[in-house]
Amino acid sequence: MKRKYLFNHNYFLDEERFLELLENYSQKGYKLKKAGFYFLRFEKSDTPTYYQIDYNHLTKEYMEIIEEMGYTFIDNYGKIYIFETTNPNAIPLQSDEEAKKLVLLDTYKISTIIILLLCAFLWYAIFKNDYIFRNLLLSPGEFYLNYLAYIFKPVSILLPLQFILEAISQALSRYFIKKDNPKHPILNKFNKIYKIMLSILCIMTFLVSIAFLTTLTSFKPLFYLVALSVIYELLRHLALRYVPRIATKEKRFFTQAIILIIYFMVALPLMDQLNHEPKNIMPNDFETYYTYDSNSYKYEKNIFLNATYISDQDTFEHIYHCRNEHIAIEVLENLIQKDERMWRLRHHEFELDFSFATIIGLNSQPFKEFEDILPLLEKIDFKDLDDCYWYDENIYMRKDCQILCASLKELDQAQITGLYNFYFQN
Amino acid sequence: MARREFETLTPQMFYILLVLQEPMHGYEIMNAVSILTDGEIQIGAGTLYTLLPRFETEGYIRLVKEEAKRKIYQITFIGQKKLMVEKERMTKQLQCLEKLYPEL
Repeated sequence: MKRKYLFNHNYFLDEERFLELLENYSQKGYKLKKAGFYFLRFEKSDTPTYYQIDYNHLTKEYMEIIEEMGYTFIDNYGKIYIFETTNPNAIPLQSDEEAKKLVLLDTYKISTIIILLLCAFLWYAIFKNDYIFRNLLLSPGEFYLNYLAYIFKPVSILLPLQFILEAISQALSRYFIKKDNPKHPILNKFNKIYKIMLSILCIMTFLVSIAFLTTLTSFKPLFYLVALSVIYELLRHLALRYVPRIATKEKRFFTQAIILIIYFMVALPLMDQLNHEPKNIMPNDFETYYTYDSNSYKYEKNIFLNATYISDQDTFEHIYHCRNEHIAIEVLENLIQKDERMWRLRHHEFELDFSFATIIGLNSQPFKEFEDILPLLEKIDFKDLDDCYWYDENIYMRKDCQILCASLKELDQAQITGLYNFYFQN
Repeated sequence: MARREFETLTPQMFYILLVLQEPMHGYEIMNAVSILTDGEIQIGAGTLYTLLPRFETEGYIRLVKEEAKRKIYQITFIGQKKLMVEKERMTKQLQCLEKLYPEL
């Protein structure tokens, strides 16, 4: 069967133009088979076909009546339903302008506009927190090393923009329908810009996804980010195409609500994960610092944890209260990695590799990976602790969000139990 | 919430309410209007399905029963009142017309 594809230039937004185009193709001997956001698919057919667009929910009863009137359902895109008929005298589906205005106003709902703006805000919040965008003022050398960061940067603007543009498009459509002027040139111009912007966004997202694959292992936050975009695009696609075409209004509403809830359920926890670079988590500057004779006390508080350091000449105890368990695990691994590196330096071993300290690769190069250190660690089983490792002169204990890291010379079972009782039993 | 969607009825809205003096389902309404007006006014399925739920919300019509997935509606007292208001409006228009152009 001969097929023909046509790039969809905004046809859904201008009904008259769309119907005109379809009828032109019908005269050329092509019949519409599928209507997507980017492409329209035509197939060869010799019978002249006439088309109609409707915006009503396609219930079973409605479908029956439409079929009795001689129309056949072809495809829908979101709330725009396309029907065909071979009868040139069939009654148009929307025969009353007032009624059409009512259904159009229902299509461009205020609640949709609000949801779109909320999505835009959510994305903005996600990107605003990402550490890489707070550290973008780099030297030229650092720029070269971190060029990937600059590829990701546009996404932070483009993704919220996508939602904002969609919201504006919906709001403008609603405004001009209310003013009885849905073909206003401003709306048409805006919709053209909107479509171009969306195409650019899609290409950008695609490029970013490819760029991301190259840093898959060393750059965790972006893994979640791209995963999130892919999930969002998928859900969006599913919502537009596969939300039951023939269903009651309530069923449709629930399906859409569930899709939105899934999206937010996936998106919100990932916001936490986005800040998971140890460089960002680990304390750098201490808020308070006291020294009494040979003993010192430091206190650090940032958005990820509260850390207290108590040390004397021979021993030290670090206590970290982390915001959540994910961060606690990251901090624990980072602490062990750091100590392992210090141990190697103390014993006059060479650095593992020559490396630049980059934002993206900071935690990996000069340090051994945590998995490499694991065999060196002695795991101690405490029934209430999630993790307990013994390494060299250091002991690391973790329970939920709390970590204790202590260094004691001649560490013995009594001292370990003492530490455990002091920090985790009370 | 008074949304004032139907301040004045368009001819199609008027005829839908008019034929619903008898309980009818969607397809019957379309046929009845067509017969009543000698085919001059034909109601599209889209228009009918936009208007019926809204008329129901406004209280002009009510769902009588559902037969084999077909919803059967009938006009209510509020709907009849609305028709009376329309009648008065149209009578007034007709009187004005006769007053100014009695020869028409």
